[in-house]
Amino acid sequence: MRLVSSFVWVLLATTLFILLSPIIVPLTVAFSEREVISFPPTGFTLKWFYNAFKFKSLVDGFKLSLYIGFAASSIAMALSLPASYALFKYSFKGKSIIENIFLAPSLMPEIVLSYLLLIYLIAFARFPGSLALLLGHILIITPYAMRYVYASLVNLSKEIEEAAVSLGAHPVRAFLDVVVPNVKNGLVAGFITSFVVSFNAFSISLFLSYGAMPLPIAMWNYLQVRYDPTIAALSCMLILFTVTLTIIARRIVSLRGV
Amino acid sequence: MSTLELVNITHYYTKQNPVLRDLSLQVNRGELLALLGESGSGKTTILKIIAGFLKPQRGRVLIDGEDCTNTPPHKRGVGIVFQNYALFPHMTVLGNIIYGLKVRGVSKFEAAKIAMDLLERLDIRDLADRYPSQLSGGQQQRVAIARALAIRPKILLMDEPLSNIDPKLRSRVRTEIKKIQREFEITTIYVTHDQDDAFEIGNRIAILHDGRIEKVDTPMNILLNPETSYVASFIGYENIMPISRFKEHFKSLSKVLERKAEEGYSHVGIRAINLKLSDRELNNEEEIISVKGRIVLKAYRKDHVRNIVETSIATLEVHTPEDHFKEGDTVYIIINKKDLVFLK
Amino acid sequence: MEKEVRIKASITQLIPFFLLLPLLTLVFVLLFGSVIYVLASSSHSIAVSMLEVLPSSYFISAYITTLKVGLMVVLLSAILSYPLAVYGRFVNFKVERLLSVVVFIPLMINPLIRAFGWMIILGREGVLNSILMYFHIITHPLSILYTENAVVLGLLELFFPFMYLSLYSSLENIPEEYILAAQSLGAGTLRVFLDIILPLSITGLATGASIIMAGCAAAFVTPSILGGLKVKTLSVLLREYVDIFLDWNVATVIALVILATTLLIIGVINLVKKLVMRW
Repeated sequence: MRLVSSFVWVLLATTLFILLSPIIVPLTVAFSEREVISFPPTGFTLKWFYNAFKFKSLVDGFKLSLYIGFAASSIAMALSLPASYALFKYSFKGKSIIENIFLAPSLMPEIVLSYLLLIYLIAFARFPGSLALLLGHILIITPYAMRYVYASLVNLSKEIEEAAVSLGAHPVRAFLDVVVPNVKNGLVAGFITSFVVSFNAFSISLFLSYGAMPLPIAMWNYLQVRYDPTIAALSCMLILFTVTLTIIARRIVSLRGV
Repeated sequence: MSTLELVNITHYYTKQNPVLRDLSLQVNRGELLALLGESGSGKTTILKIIAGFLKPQRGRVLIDGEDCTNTPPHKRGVGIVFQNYALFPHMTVLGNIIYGLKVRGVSKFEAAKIAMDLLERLDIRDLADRYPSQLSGGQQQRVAIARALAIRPKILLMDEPLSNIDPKLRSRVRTEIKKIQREFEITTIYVTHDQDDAFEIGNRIAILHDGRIEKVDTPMNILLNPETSYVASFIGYENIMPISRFKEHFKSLSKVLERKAEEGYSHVGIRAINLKLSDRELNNEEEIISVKGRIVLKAYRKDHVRNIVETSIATLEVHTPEDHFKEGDTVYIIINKKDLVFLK
Repeated sequence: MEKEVRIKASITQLIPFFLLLPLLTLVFVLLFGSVIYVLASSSHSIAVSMLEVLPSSYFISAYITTLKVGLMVVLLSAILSYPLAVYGRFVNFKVERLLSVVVFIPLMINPLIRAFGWMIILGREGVLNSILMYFHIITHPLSILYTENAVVLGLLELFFPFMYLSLYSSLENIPEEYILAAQSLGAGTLRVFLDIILPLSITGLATGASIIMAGCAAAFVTPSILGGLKVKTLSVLLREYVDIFLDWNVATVIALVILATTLLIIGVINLVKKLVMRW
């Protein structure tokens, strides 16, 4: 028995190392003095952080990723809310077909989608690059958005809407007064999660970014030619950014137990 | 106080299985009608049709004589107390109760007054600022009732109100609901699957079976004259026998029994509590008949002894207040003819 | 009056469709539309290119690499997750609580950053080599980076959470009583695992495997950074033909192969799951 448990603890340690070290190591290297990346890090400096801001492609990339994340998440949530509501409340012929259609974006490999949209939207339909990029992001975010919105709807009892209607509220009003306030938490959490997914997305932006590049692509380009702690410093800031957002989302969801 | 009438309602989810078949029902002004039926018998469908959430495939709904089958639910003025109360979790008790008034454009001041008055009458005044999650089941129910009453509905629907109440408190809550209904003089339909519930609370009881109202009458009348075998067994007639078997044993009654059979009756029923046990045959009086049998099982209940007696007619159940006989004893079951009911 | 009612009734029936329409249109037009367009417009040239691409050495080696890497990741993640999940579910719940938190952390962080982290760890002057050399376990630095093993490690980190969560959730459906019953009948730990736990959690294993295989076929950043010039998966190859060689015929073939393989893997595993359910 002792043998089994020590075996398990070894596995646990290995797993934790594998999962966490690629995250922790860049954090430590970010402060290193030397230009060449090595471990253990030597010295302590913040110069790499300043350096990150000096590269236009990185700064512009950050702004673009923010913008796209925000826009794509908003649109995805706006489309998902009525769709989830329809699936939740009504049953009709062809419902399972439609449910499967909504499942499709998660089955499609992101890089294949990126390539197909490149040919379809940009080469064929001559969409501007920024629009194609936005549409691509919306597509990959949608499964996440739907999941969050649907989950928070399911937690509500259906009778609440009927109660409001029986008290005299027009169905639309009943929806606004009684469903939306209770789904709010799920909506916010869904929005933040969608944003993080969009912000971190790489493959979808790979082919669709022409001229303007989202941050992950800009970072990847940087890494093709340079290998210095700048990326580590940038990583450090990004980790802080996305982890904070995710924690906020988690907190919001657990408030009032939605 | 309004009247409600359901006229020839037919509704089905699949063509082969209608939930409601040509159902008609009349609810009188100010009465509390208990709609009694087993789970899945269509009680919920009827509620939804009355409230307007479902449009029946055939038939009409009349409130105060006016056809409102096509009126949308938010214009019907039907108050509903849901089985799970469905209180709005993001509003306070006061907010919940005011909601219906707010939607009708009543001023906040007026609405608050009406709400506080209701809270007072239902004895939950102190709960005004609490949220539903902070209330007990019984409190939630009262809030749900207050919320429905606030809009002065023409009809009040209550869906299995006692199902979420602690069994020990059910009797008390039932009495309170009855009091509230009478005080507010509101025509109420009370849906339940529990016959004790229906019998205690209903001015009249409507028994729902196989998509139709099998019988609607006062509790007393239903008990004395169930009319059909289903109703009889549903309300607790322990002994139901085919007329043919009864005729075989009681030759003296054959003329009466034949006449009843021609009228369409197929069974005879009698309640266990109306039967008596004796060690000798008593046939001298006009009203009495008896049949010989043997006690095969005895069980003890709180107020009576339950005797299962095998006879040549059928195995009969007799409830006696006292414990005179043993298992295996030969006894005579004494039947008073006026306690017999004929059933279709 | 009757007609008005009928119109209103049919409008009410249509409400769900109006609600669904925007999202439905988006997914349909973009997702299905693009696939249909690409297949339809260049079906001839695709067919021709397929004859050229599929047998070629660069394609076959990329395909094999992708499959190899995928299977390795499935195997390693299963070996790591199973004991941990079983232990966490039936023996010590603290393990589960720790893992359920830790496992979500990498999911929030950009795969690019994580691949970069692996670069630092696996490089010739990296963390791993420094530690191994410091303890004199090796004398020369190992070159792990830019080999298949590096890609496997990187993808293992990426997909481990999915296998673990999928396994754990299927283990949650096994009542503890089954274990106790087996043990009371005389089964030792290994027998309990093989006879009770494994068969009942095989669907979790299958789900995890399908997510991982599909993910490895589609992953780009990790194999591209950690694989270097020699180790190429299908997605890395795809990008090469789009951005570097600008040969769109070949690229389309590769893209369709990735899509077909992904769907095939998911389909096969779903079928297997259904068969297992029946049995």
